[in-house]
Amino acid sequence: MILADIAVTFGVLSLIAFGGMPAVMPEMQRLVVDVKGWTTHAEFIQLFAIAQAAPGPNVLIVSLVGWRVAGLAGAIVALLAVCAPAAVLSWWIAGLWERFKESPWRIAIQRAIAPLVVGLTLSGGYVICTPETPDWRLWTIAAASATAFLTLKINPLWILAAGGTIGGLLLAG
Amino acid sequence: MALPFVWVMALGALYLEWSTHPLVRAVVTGVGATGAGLFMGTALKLGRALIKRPAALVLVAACFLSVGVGRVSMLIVLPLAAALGIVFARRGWL
Repeated sequence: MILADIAVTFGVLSLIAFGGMPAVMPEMQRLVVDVKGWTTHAEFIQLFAIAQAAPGPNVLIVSLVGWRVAGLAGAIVALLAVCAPAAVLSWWIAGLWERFKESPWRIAIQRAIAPLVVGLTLSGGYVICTPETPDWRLWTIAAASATAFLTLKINPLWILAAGGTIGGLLLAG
Repeated sequence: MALPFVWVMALGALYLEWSTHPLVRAVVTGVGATGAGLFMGTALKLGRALIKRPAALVLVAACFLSVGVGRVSMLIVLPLAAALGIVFARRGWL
């Protein structure tokens, strides 16, 4: 039963993931932490961090959540649930999209989606670093890393490493 | 996808071994906050192209305030915001 719940939860997320995993992160956090209670907010940010630190796409956080809830089977079901529906939908939409390439509706939809993706991605970052009780230290790290990302031309892995070090200094104890 | 899956599971298992250590928890939480900042940085970078379009900024703010701050479900916000965006686009505001 729990595997079906994982499949449905992440399957739905997969179908609304316009703009990729960052844009759907607020809904994932809401479902996993607030609605289902599968992790606490603190655990969620840690699972997110592990997924960020591992090579591969951001979507891998669902495997960690699935694993936390239902072991290895949960990890596999969560990953399949988040990848398969989006893959099928993309394949189906791609054909349709090409057929209507001259349609003014297609142009309108493309223009409408861009600000939505920006707003949702911003929400994703905000939600992750804002636990039930806002913590200035998390905000400081997030603001510093966003600034570094926008101003320095360095590999984001260095920013993650610096953030981890600052986290160790500010958050330990 | 199989190799990244194995990687992330291995890292997860390693973290589970050490997750009770306060310093490890602090470092990992710091990485999480940094990832959140990278999301925000990405959004701001993408948003630069929209800065001269007030209707786009209204949509960005509406999504952020409802989903991010208000914690309203995306299943409610997404259709409404998309419909509003299409109306804006059809009127030439986006």
